[in-house]
Amino acid sequence: MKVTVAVEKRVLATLERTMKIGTTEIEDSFAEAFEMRYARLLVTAIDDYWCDTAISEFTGFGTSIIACDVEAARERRLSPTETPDGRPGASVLIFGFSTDVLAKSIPRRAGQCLLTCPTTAVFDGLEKSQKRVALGSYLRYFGDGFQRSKVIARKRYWRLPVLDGEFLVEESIGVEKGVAGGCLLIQATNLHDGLRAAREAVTSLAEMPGVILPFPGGVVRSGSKVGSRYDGLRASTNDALCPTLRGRVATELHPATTHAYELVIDGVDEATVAAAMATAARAAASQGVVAIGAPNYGGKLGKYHFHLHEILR
Amino acid sequence: MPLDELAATRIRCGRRSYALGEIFSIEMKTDQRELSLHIPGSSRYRSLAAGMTDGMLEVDGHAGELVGCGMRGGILRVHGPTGNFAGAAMAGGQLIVDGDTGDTAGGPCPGELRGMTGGELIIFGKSGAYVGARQRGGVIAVGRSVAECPGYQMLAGTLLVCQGELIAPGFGMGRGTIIGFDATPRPLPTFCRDGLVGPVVLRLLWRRLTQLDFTLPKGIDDSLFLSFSGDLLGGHRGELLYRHHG
Repeated sequence: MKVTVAVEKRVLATLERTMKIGTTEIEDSFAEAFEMRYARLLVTAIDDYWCDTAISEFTGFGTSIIACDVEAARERRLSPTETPDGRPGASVLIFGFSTDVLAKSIPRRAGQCLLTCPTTAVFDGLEKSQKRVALGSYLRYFGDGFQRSKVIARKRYWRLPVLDGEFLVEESIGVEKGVAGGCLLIQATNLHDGLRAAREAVTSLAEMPGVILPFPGGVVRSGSKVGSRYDGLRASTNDALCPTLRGRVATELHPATTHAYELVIDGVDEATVAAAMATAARAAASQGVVAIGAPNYGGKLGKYHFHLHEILR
Repeated sequence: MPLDELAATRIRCGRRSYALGEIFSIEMKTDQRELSLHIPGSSRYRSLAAGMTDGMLEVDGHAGELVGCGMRGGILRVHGPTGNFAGAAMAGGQLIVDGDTGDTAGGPCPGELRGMTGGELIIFGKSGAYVGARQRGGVIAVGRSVAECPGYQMLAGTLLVCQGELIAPGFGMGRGTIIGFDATPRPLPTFCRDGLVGPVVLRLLWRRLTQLDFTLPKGIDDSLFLSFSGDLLGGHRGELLYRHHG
């Protein structure tokens, strides 16, 4: 009698830990994320082509703060009715470790990548923030004395004379606290299904407000761990997640996995990142994706923990 | 501010001062979120709502001279005309005039040097001479025509005139922007022609004015303007923008 009960408890415990979406197993794991500061810029241009071009340059070299100064990506497209000047545009989120980091990075990136791009204008996307970093008030000196400012509805804008007329930029940009490092690990039985699932997951978040995926195409193929056997290297390949090292290290991959991809998600708050992870996981769960997990650092580094079984319940 | 405190506020009337409650009846409707005061109009008013900082005041008729002078906040709505010096030296808030104003709207108070420095002065009718004189900030929009010397010695801010010609606009201006929708480009000889421009900043201005129920011509977003910079006698950093037709 006692043996029967013990077996039943073990089976029940296993069943409770097992979650599936279709044929895809959702691992009982969690992602570990960090508090960072973020700013939102609204970039407009004469059409989507120039807007996309400007944003592509502005968010370049902005994948991870492991070696980049910030993490940046387009948040979503904005229709002309949503932008301050009624032109096509998009919003960009940019995350940094501190307000000081953003204060250095944003004006430099804007000066080199937005000011230089034809027809662009730049506005603040966090009007109510108390913490602010200089943007227009920094870039105005490029006007070399020919710049003008205009105050409309208590906001100051700077007008810099350039070759195609004027570059318009708002004087300052608001900064808020955000969450960076939400993560999913998509494990597939072949390369094509892995890539397809990763892209579908990224597409599902393309227009979700408050969220960016800063890595190339939103996907990471080089998941990392903290530290290295080499002095001075802050991060190195996450060998436990490399399918080709299965015979040499203790793997954390599902036995059927041949290819894996990570999605790293930064968001404006904890709830938004959790919702984004859930949406992406549901989009990725499909044929050929044997499991979806979440890499972490043992729960010791990040302030925020996103347990997959909780966010997908 | 409690109603009894408001009623006890002293105001000048001629050589004497009176408590507000001695002249007006004041009531607050409970369904309103902000205090809104309605008073009848009179051309004998002087300095009505001077230094206003908050709330809403509506004048049903003529608002007299110096209405809203030095106001720093709140909304002052005049359902009629005003005398001279409407919005003189205002620093914030909104002064909206449904009728015409006299001379020197948005300019300095008599005997002073500093004109309007902030806020929004919206005139749906005509305005007199020297509108925006020595303006140092804020936005003035005139729905109809103005008399001579708009933006006289302007130092900053924006002045928009929707109808009629501009006579000696921006005389002695240092900075700031004067925009004429209907005017034939006839700037003073001390202004230099810059060419056709379509500044994106004007789109922000149109949107703000539309929020204030100011009517703008159709297709204004895509309009080009003939730009002149000057005044060479002032700081030479002001701009005149004449809407380009055809």
